[in-house]
Amino acid sequence: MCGPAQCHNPIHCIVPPHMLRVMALRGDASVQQMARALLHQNEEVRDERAERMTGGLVPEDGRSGLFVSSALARSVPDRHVCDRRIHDGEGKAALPGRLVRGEGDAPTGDPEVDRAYDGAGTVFELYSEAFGRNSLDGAGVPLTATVHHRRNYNNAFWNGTQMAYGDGDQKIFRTFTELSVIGHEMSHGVVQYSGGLLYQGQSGALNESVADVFGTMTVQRKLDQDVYAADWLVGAGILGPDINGRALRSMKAPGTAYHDALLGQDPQPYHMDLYVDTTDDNGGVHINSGIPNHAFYLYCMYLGGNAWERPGQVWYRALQQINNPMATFHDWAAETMDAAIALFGAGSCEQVMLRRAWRLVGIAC
Amino acid sequence: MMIEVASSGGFGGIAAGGMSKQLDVTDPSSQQPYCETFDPDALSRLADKAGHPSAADLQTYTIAVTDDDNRRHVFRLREDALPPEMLDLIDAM
Ligand SMILES: [Zn+2]
Repeated sequence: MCGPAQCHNPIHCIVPPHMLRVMALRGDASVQQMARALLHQNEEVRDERAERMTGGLVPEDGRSGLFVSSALARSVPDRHVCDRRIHDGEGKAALPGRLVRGEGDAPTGDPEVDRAYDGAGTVFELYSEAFGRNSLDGAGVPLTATVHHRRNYNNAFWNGTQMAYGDGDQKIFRTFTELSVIGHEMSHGVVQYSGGLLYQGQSGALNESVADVFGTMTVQRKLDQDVYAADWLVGAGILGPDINGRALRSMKAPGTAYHDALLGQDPQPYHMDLYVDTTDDNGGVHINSGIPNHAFYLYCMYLGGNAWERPGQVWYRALQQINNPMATFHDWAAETMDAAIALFGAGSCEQVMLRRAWRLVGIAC
Repeated sequence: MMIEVASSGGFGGIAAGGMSKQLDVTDPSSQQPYCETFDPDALSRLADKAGHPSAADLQTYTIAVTDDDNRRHVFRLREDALPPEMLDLIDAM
């Protein structure tokens, strides 16, 4: 059993060790690798302090057997204080690198540093003001990021504790400190502290989709754009100057973000009939995320207004409640339906339109 | 000794976003860091290392080492399994 004094990673609290061992024995290669990683992590954290549990799952008030993320369980909002720590990797791989801008420090003049700082603040505001969440873990964890990570590095990532942004090679990518990218990476942290979605297959694609949804929502709220004014692009403007493409992904029209001799065609599907079965990319996590991404876009089109209001509240509540790191697209759709009913009532416009949005991407719920 | 390194995956999910490099270690004395770091036994130990289960958008590296006996050893490793010194050597290749 995974007791509260032994566990700090929410996933360990959800998947019992015996199940992980079965998965490590019987799963296919990717599931085995995932289960071994979780078991290994469990051993490593056994002696860590119990207070590092913050952000894990806790029993929901008065409802025995139900668990929600600790961020959602807090009934009285804490005072939210943003604590940004931007580091310069100086072209090397060691993390986090040299601290160059802490909270309240003046701009450095380095555009990458200052965009990472400002962007982290904007994402923090979204979660705090629109969702009542105090930072990534719901308990005010500092926002640590590294810019200038490695040389000509064509990537940005969340490594479980911090964000890192490469400068790109200036051919395929020109930067990664664009606001939707920053929102995307930080939202992987929120997913982690909300019970987690395993980074493989459909649950991994859901993890990616949630990161895209809240990444684009960050941009829309910053620009005060309603759902009709928004471009629904992820990574707009980060592709190199000679690349034929507007962005990395389009939630409005998955599969159309780029079409380029070097990059090929954007591979994202918008419907379950076009679901891509692949072993690459952790089972296509950046590909099939197009399906739930498009469902969110359609839902927003049906409801109108601002994405971070009714549609965003439904998605956020579903993330806090789902308690299933191996969720399928169908599981997620069902959870969003439950969230819409809880927030707006059975038979509400918000519930009816949500069912319609999911049906349009080939998911009945 | 021949070292081949290719990366894939990451935030973009674009194959072309990765890199492919190779290094022919003809002078082990001047390229000692590469010989030590890309020793197949050392790489094998790294392959057993588990990364953070909630990490996202990390790249995957395929590292092939052909030793002096012409045996080819291939490893597939997630980015966070590689120590920073090794990643710096890859960037310098
Ligand atoms: Zn991602």
